[in-house]
Amino acid sequence: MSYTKIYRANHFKKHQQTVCKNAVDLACVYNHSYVVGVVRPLSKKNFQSDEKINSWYENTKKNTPAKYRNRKYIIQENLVNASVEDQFISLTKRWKKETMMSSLAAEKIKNLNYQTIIGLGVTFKEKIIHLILKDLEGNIEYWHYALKSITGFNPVPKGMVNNLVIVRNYWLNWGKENKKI
Amino acid sequence: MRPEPKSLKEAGEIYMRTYWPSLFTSGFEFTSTETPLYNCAAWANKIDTSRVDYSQDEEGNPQVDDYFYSLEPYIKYFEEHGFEICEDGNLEQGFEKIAIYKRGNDFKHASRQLLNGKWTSKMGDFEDIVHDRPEDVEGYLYRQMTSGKVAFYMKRKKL
Repeated sequence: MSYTKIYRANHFKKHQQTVCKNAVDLACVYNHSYVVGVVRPLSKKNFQSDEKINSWYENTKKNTPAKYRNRKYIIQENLVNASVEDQFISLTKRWKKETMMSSLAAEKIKNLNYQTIIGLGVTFKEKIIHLILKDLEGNIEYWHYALKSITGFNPVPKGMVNNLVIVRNYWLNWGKENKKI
Repeated sequence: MRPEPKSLKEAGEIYMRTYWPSLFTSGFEFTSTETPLYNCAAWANKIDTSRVDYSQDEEGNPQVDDYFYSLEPYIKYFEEHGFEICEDGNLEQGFEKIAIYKRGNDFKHASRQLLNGKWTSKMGDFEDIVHDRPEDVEGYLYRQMTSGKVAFYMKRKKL
């Protein structure tokens, strides 16, 4: 396990500033409490599919020294080398899981994963817009603020933002008109 | 160590088990499917097609002023819909009651009393549930997401 180093949660906390210096170098809350280890540079192949991520988690856990297994740890995924799509999928999954019990849009928007997606959208504008609109086709979600921030355009009339169906329809129409999907 | 949840539904159930343990001792039932279409405040006012959310402005930007996260705009909203603050959450003939939850002065959750005296809550983007007491969904701290404690009750004449 040359690319993995296991830290205890308090160790991670102490070194958080150093470890999390990159915005996409995210700390993942495992089991809604703490996490499992700190991942050192991973190659692109680790993030090709969910199966690979899962099998990597399993291997990591198997190779975790027994004395650490039942403690609280932190897993940090290094997504720097992952493709834009993989990063988007991973960030979206975490965003949905971390904010699914929240009733307020602002709490969802302020989530680190959501903000990172917007950050990715600045660099990979067309790709991220396409991925968000694709997600919006299948789900009703809070993508309005991200799309608005990335595109600099707001097709939704004022005062309609609390109706997610209407918001979705406006954005999907916009996407079709502008050939984004 | 528990395995990572496979789906959002599974993750939601783990959240509920972790942060509202009293629900699993006093009992509750799911009464809808998961949807982000409406939230707890809308559901307290029997709306299931849009959200009641003051945390974002008319254009969808998160509000900066603390006022919009506080109880005040929600009290105003419920008062505009015929509710007034009342003493308790006991079943009262001819009235429907809601419970408002807060953390600090922040609005966190709302639940509504049903005809049989039980309560219904919309749990974030998760399902609606029916639970026995308003206190069952008082929340445990998880980052910003918590349903808080019951702050007060409101009632209005049955429509």
